Amino acid sequence: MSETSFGELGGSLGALTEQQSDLEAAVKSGQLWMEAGVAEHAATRCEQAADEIDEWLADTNELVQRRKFGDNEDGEAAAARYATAGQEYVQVMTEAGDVFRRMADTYRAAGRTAAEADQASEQLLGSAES
Amino acid sequence: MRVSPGKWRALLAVTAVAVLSACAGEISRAAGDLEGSADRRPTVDPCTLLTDAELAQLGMQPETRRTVQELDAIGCGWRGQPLGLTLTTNPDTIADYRERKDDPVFVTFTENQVNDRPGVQTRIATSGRQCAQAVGTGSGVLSVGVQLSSRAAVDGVQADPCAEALRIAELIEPRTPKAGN
Repeated sequence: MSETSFGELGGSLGALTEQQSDLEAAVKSGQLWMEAGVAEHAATRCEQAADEIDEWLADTNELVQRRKFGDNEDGEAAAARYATAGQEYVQVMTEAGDVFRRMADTYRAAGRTAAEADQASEQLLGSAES
Repeated sequence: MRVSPGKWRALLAVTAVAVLSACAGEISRAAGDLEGSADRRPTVDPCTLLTDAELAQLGMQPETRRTVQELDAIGCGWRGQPLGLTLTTNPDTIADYRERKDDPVFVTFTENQVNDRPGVQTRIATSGRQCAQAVGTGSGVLSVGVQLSSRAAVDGVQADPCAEALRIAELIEPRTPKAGN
Protein backbone atom coordinates (compact mmCIF):
# COMPACT_ATOMS: atom_id res chain seq x y z
CA MET A 1 0.00 0.00 0.00
CA SER A 2 1.52 3.23 -1.08
CA GLU A 3 1.43 5.96 1.53
CA THR A 4 2.13 8.49 -1.19
CA SER A 5 -1.06 7.61 -3.00
CA PHE A 6 -3.13 8.24 0.10
CA GLY A 7 -1.25 11.49 0.58
CA GLU A 8 -2.27 12.55 -2.93
CA LEU A 9 -5.82 11.52 -2.18
CA GLY A 10 -5.78 13.68 0.94
CA GLY A 11 -4.38 16.53 -1.13
CA SER A 12 -7.21 16.19 -3.65
CA LEU A 13 -9.68 16.26 -0.79
CA GLY A 14 -8.05 19.42 0.58
CA ALA A 15 -8.40 21.14 -2.80
CA LEU A 16 -12.01 19.99 -3.08
CA THR A 17 -12.79 21.28 0.41
CA GLU A 18 -11.20 24.62 -0.41
CA GLN A 19 -13.24 24.94 -3.60
CA GLN A 20 -16.41 24.19 -1.68
CA SER A 21 -15.55 26.83 0.92
CA ASP A 22 -14.89 29.42 -1.80
CA LEU A 23 -18.13 28.50 -3.53
CA GLU A 24 -20.14 28.76 -0.32
CA ALA A 25 -18.55 32.11 0.55
CA ALA A 26 -19.33 33.48 -2.92
CA VAL A 27 -22.98 32.44 -2.62
CA LYS A 28 -23.33 33.85 0.89
CA SER A 29 -21.81 37.17 -0.13
CA GLY A 30 -24.10 37.42 -3.16
CA GLN A 31 -21.24 37.25 -5.66
CA LEU A 32 -22.45 33.98 -7.13
CA TRP A 33 -25.92 33.07 -8.25
CA MET A 34 -27.09 30.64 -10.86
CA GLU A 35 -30.17 30.05 -12.93
CA ALA A 36 -32.27 27.58 -10.93
CA GLY A 37 -32.20 24.82 -13.56
CA VAL A 38 -28.44 25.03 -13.99
CA ALA A 39 -27.95 25.04 -10.22
CA GLU A 40 -30.14 21.96 -9.78
CA HIS A 41 -28.27 20.15 -12.55
CA ALA A 42 -24.94 20.87 -10.85
CA ALA A 43 -26.36 19.86 -7.46
CA THR A 44 -27.66 16.59 -8.87
CA ARG A 45 -24.21 15.73 -10.23
CA CYS A 46 -22.69 16.37 -6.82
CA GLU A 47 -25.34 14.19 -5.15
CA GLN A 48 -24.57 11.40 -7.64
CA ALA A 49 -20.88 11.61 -6.83
CA ALA A 50 -21.67 11.42 -3.11
CA ASP A 51 -24.01 8.47 -3.69
CA GLU A 52 -21.20 6.63 -5.48
CA ILE A 53 -18.82 7.32 -2.61
CA ASP A 54 -21.41 6.07 -0.10
CA GLU A 55 -21.64 2.84 -2.09
CA TRP A 56 -17.86 2.42 -2.29
CA LEU A 57 -17.61 2.86 1.44
CA ALA A 58 -20.36 0.34 2.11
CA ASP A 59 -18.97 -2.20 -0.33
CA THR A 60 -15.38 -2.00 0.85
CA ASN A 61 -16.37 -2.74 4.43
CA GLU A 62 -15.92 -6.46 3.82
CA LEU A 63 -12.66 -5.85 2.04
CA VAL A 64 -11.21 -3.79 4.84
CA GLN A 65 -12.32 -5.96 7.73
CA ARG A 66 -11.89 -9.46 6.36
CA ARG A 67 -8.56 -9.32 4.56
CA LYS A 68 -6.42 -11.95 6.25
CA PHE A 69 -2.70 -11.99 6.81
CA GLY A 70 -0.44 -14.68 8.16
CA ASP A 71 -0.45 -15.46 11.88
CA ASN A 72 3.19 -14.51 12.33
CA GLU A 73 5.31 -11.40 12.84
CA ASP A 74 5.29 -10.41 9.16
CA GLY A 75 1.57 -11.05 8.91
CA GLU A 76 0.83 -8.96 11.97
CA ALA A 77 2.96 -6.11 10.64
CA ALA A 78 1.15 -6.30 7.30
CA ALA A 79 -2.21 -6.37 9.07
CA ALA A 80 -1.30 -3.26 11.06
CA ARG A 81 -0.23 -1.39 7.92
CA TYR A 82 -3.32 -2.53 6.08
CA ALA A 83 -5.57 -1.49 8.97
CA THR A 84 -4.07 1.98 9.03
CA ALA A 85 -4.36 2.37 5.27
CA GLY A 86 -7.91 1.05 5.26
CA GLN A 87 -9.03 3.43 7.98
CA GLU A 88 -7.33 6.35 6.24
CA TYR A 89 -9.10 5.44 3.03
CA VAL A 90 -12.47 5.27 4.79
CA GLN A 91 -11.83 8.60 6.51
CA VAL A 92 -10.76 10.43 3.35
CA MET A 93 -13.61 9.05 1.26
CA THR A 94 -16.13 9.80 4.00
CA GLU A 95 -15.00 13.41 4.07
CA ALA A 96 -15.08 13.58 0.26
CA GLY A 97 -18.70 12.41 0.29
CA ASP A 98 -19.59 15.10 2.81
CA VAL A 99 -17.92 17.79 0.70
CA PHE A 100 -19.93 16.74 -2.38
CA ARG A 101 -23.16 16.91 -0.35
CA ARG A 102 -22.31 20.39 0.91
CA MET A 103 -21.47 21.42 -2.62
CA ALA A 104 -24.90 20.26 -3.77
CA ASP A 105 -26.49 22.34 -1.01
CA THR A 106 -24.41 25.34 -2.05
CA TYR A 107 -25.44 25.07 -5.71
CA ARG A 108 -29.09 24.90 -4.66
CA ALA A 109 -28.57 27.98 -2.49
CA ALA A 110 -27.07 29.77 -5.50
CA GLY A 111 -30.17 28.81 -7.51
CA ARG A 112 -32.48 30.13 -4.78
CA THR A 113 -30.55 33.41 -4.69
CA ALA A 114 -31.14 33.92 -8.41
CA ALA A 115 -34.81 32.99 -8.12
CA GLU A 116 -35.27 35.40 -5.22
CA ALA A 117 -33.50 38.17 -7.16
CA ASP A 118 -35.79 37.57 -10.15
CA GLN A 119 -38.85 37.64 -7.91
CA ALA A 120 -37.71 40.88 -6.26
CA SER A 121 -37.12 42.47 -9.68
CA GLU A 122 -40.57 41.46 -10.88
CA GLN A 123 -42.17 42.92 -7.77
CA LEU A 124 -40.19 46.11 -8.19
CA LEU A 125 -41.20 46.41 -11.84
CA GLY A 126 -44.80 45.59 -10.95
CA SER A 127 -45.02 48.30 -8.32
CA ALA A 128 -43.33 50.80 -10.65
CA GLU A 129 -45.88 50.11 -13.40
CA SER A 130 -48.94 50.39 -11.13
CA MET B 1 -16.87 31.69 -9.98
CA ARG B 2 -18.30 28.72 -11.83
CA VAL B 3 -17.21 25.15 -11.66
CA SER B 4 -18.43 22.87 -14.39
CA PRO B 5 -19.95 19.50 -13.46
CA GLY B 6 -17.34 17.96 -15.72
CA LYS B 7 -14.63 19.18 -13.39
CA TRP B 8 -16.19 17.33 -10.50
CA ARG B 9 -16.52 14.22 -12.59
CA ALA B 10 -12.85 14.49 -13.50
CA LEU B 11 -11.84 14.99 -9.89
CA LEU B 12 -13.93 12.06 -8.79
CA ALA B 13 -12.41 9.93 -11.50
CA VAL B 14 -8.91 10.93 -10.41
CA THR B 15 -9.83 10.13 -6.83
CA ALA B 16 -11.20 6.77 -7.82
CA VAL B 17 -8.09 5.93 -9.81
CA ALA B 18 -5.90 7.01 -6.91
CA VAL B 19 -7.84 4.84 -4.51
CA LEU B 20 -7.84 1.85 -6.79
CA SER B 21 -4.17 2.16 -7.69
CA ALA B 22 -3.26 2.65 -4.04
CA CYS B 23 -4.95 -0.55 -3.02
CA ALA B 24 -4.33 -2.70 -6.07
CA GLY B 25 -1.08 -4.07 -4.72
CA GLU B 26 -2.63 -5.75 -1.71
CA ILE B 27 -6.30 -6.22 -2.27
CA SER B 28 -6.13 -8.33 -5.39
CA ARG B 29 -7.93 -11.54 -4.61
CA ALA B 30 -5.75 -14.52 -3.93
CA ALA B 31 -6.87 -17.56 -5.92
CA GLY B 32 -6.88 -19.65 -2.78
CA ASP B 33 -9.41 -17.40 -1.09
CA LEU B 34 -12.26 -18.95 -2.96
CA GLU B 35 -10.88 -22.36 -3.79
CA GLY B 36 -10.44 -23.50 -0.23
CA SER B 37 -13.78 -22.22 0.92
CA ALA B 38 -16.02 -23.47 -1.86
CA ASP B 39 -17.48 -26.19 0.34
CA ARG B 40 -18.33 -23.63 3.05
CA ARG B 41 -20.25 -21.20 0.85
CA PRO B 42 -23.49 -20.27 2.64
CA THR B 43 -26.56 -21.56 0.86
CA VAL B 44 -28.74 -18.54 1.62
CA ASP B 45 -29.14 -15.79 -1.01
CA PRO B 46 -28.73 -12.48 0.85
CA CYS B 47 -30.21 -10.52 -2.07
CA THR B 48 -33.66 -12.05 -1.60
CA LEU B 49 -33.88 -12.21 2.19
CA LEU B 50 -35.86 -8.97 2.33
CA THR B 51 -38.76 -8.08 0.05
CA ASP B 52 -38.91 -4.70 -1.63
CA ALA B 53 -41.70 -3.72 0.75
CA GLU B 54 -39.56 -4.64 3.75
CA LEU B 55 -36.59 -2.77 2.33
CA ALA B 56 -38.75 0.32 1.85
CA GLN B 57 -40.02 0.02 5.43
CA LEU B 58 -36.40 0.01 6.59
CA GLY B 59 -35.77 3.25 4.71
CA MET B 60 -34.02 1.63 1.74
CA GLN B 61 -34.62 2.37 -1.93
CA PRO B 62 -35.20 -1.09 -3.48
CA GLU B 63 -34.49 0.21 -6.98
CA THR B 64 -30.90 1.06 -6.01
CA ARG B 65 -30.02 -2.61 -5.50
CA ARG B 66 -26.49 -3.42 -6.59
CA THR B 67 -24.32 -6.52 -6.48
CA VAL B 68 -21.59 -6.59 -3.85
CA GLN B 69 -18.62 -8.88 -4.34
CA GLU B 70 -15.54 -8.25 -2.25
CA LEU B 71 -12.98 -10.96 -1.55
CA ASP B 72 -15.12 -14.06 -0.93
CA ALA B 73 -18.18 -12.12 0.23
CA ILE B 74 -21.16 -11.96 -2.12
CA GLY B 75 -24.46 -10.18 -1.78
CA CYS B 76 -26.36 -7.00 -2.44
CA GLY B 77 -26.45 -3.39 -1.33
CA TRP B 78 -29.09 -0.68 -1.28
CA ARG B 79 -28.99 3.05 -0.74
CA GLY B 80 -31.25 4.46 1.91
CA GLN B 81 -32.02 7.40 4.15
CA PRO B 82 -30.72 7.89 6.68
CA LEU B 83 -28.99 4.50 6.49
CA GLY B 84 -27.78 2.34 3.61
CA LEU B 85 -27.63 -1.46 3.78
CA THR B 86 -25.48 -4.31 2.49
CA LEU B 87 -26.31 -7.97 2.99
CA THR B 88 -23.54 -10.41 2.16
CA THR B 89 -22.54 -13.96 2.92
CA ASN B 90 -19.05 -15.31 3.28
CA PRO B 91 -17.57 -18.73 4.07
CA ASP B 92 -16.16 -17.77 7.48
CA THR B 93 -17.65 -18.90 10.77
CA ILE B 94 -18.30 -16.81 13.87
CA ALA B 95 -15.32 -18.64 15.39
CA ASP B 96 -13.17 -17.29 12.54
CA TYR B 97 -14.32 -13.78 13.39
CA ARG B 98 -13.49 -14.31 17.08
CA GLU B 99 -9.98 -15.37 16.20
CA ARG B 100 -9.43 -11.96 14.62
CA LYS B 101 -10.89 -9.85 17.40
CA ASP B 102 -7.51 -8.25 18.08
CA ASP B 103 -6.97 -7.27 14.46
CA PRO B 104 -6.08 -3.57 14.44
CA VAL B 105 -8.57 -2.93 11.64
CA PHE B 106 -11.43 -3.10 14.13
CA VAL B 107 -12.30 0.14 15.91
CA THR B 108 -14.71 -1.93 18.00
CA PHE B 109 -15.33 -5.69 18.12
CA THR B 110 -18.28 -6.86 20.22
CA GLU B 111 -19.68 -10.34 20.62
CA ASN B 112 -23.46 -10.40 20.92
CA GLN B 113 -26.59 -12.44 20.20
CA VAL B 114 -28.84 -12.28 17.18
CA ASN B 115 -32.02 -13.79 18.57
CA ASP B 116 -30.62 -17.11 19.87
CA ARG B 117 -27.53 -17.24 17.68
CA PRO B 118 -24.09 -15.93 18.55
CA GLY B 119 -23.02 -12.92 16.55
CA VAL B 120 -20.26 -10.38 16.21
CA GLN B 121 -20.63 -6.66 15.72
CA THR B 122 -17.72 -4.70 14.25
CA ARG B 123 -16.84 -1.15 13.33
CA ILE B 124 -13.92 -0.23 11.09
CA ALA B 125 -14.58 3.52 10.79
CA THR B 126 -13.64 5.92 13.53
CA SER B 127 -16.51 8.19 12.44
CA GLY B 128 -19.05 5.79 13.95
CA ARG B 129 -21.14 5.99 10.80
CA GLN B 130 -20.78 2.36 9.86
CA CYS B 131 -21.40 -0.98 11.57
CA ALA B 132 -21.45 -4.63 10.53
CA GLN B 133 -23.38 -7.39 12.27
CA ALA B 134 -22.26 -10.95 11.53
CA VAL B 135 -24.32 -14.03 12.38
CA GLY B 136 -23.67 -17.67 11.57
CA THR B 137 -25.89 -19.22 8.94
CA GLY B 138 -25.72 -22.52 7.08
CA SER B 139 -22.06 -23.19 6.56
CA GLY B 140 -20.96 -19.60 6.65
CA VAL B 141 -21.75 -16.13 7.92
CA LEU B 142 -24.38 -13.56 6.99
CA SER B 143 -23.08 -10.02 7.35
CA VAL B 144 -25.46 -7.06 7.73
CA GLY B 145 -23.67 -3.81 6.96
CA VAL B 146 -25.34 -0.53 7.84
CA GLN B 147 -23.93 2.89 7.03
CA LEU B 148 -25.15 6.41 7.70
CA SER B 149 -25.46 8.17 4.34
CA SER B 150 -23.38 11.26 3.74
CA ARG B 151 -26.62 13.18 3.12
CA ALA B 152 -27.88 12.26 6.57
CA ALA B 153 -24.53 13.06 8.14
CA VAL B 154 -24.32 16.50 6.54
CA ASP B 155 -27.93 17.22 7.54
CA GLY B 156 -27.09 16.32 11.14
CA VAL B 157 -29.38 13.29 11.31
CA GLN B 158 -28.65 11.11 14.31
CA ALA B 159 -28.86 7.33 13.84
CA ASP B 160 -27.19 4.31 15.39
CA PRO B 161 -25.93 1.98 12.63
CA CYS B 162 -25.10 -0.82 15.10
CA ALA B 163 -28.59 -0.84 16.61
CA GLU B 164 -30.09 -0.91 13.13
CA ALA B 165 -27.73 -3.65 11.94
CA LEU B 166 -28.75 -5.82 14.88
CA ARG B 167 -32.44 -5.07 14.32
CA ILE B 168 -32.20 -6.09 10.66
CA ALA B 169 -30.16 -9.19 11.51
CA GLU B 170 -32.84 -10.23 14.03
CA LEU B 171 -35.52 -9.67 11.41
CA ILE B 172 -33.93 -11.96 8.84
CA GLU B 173 -32.27 -14.51 11.14
CA PRO B 174 -35.34 -16.80 11.28
CA ARG B 175 -35.27 -16.99 7.47
CA THR B 176 -31.77 -18.40 7.32
CA PRO B 177 -30.56 -21.94 8.01
CA LYS B 178 -28.94 -22.53 11.36
CA ALA B 179 -25.16 -22.49 11.42
CA GLY B 180 -23.86 -25.96 10.73
CA ASN B 181 -20.53 -25.52 12.46
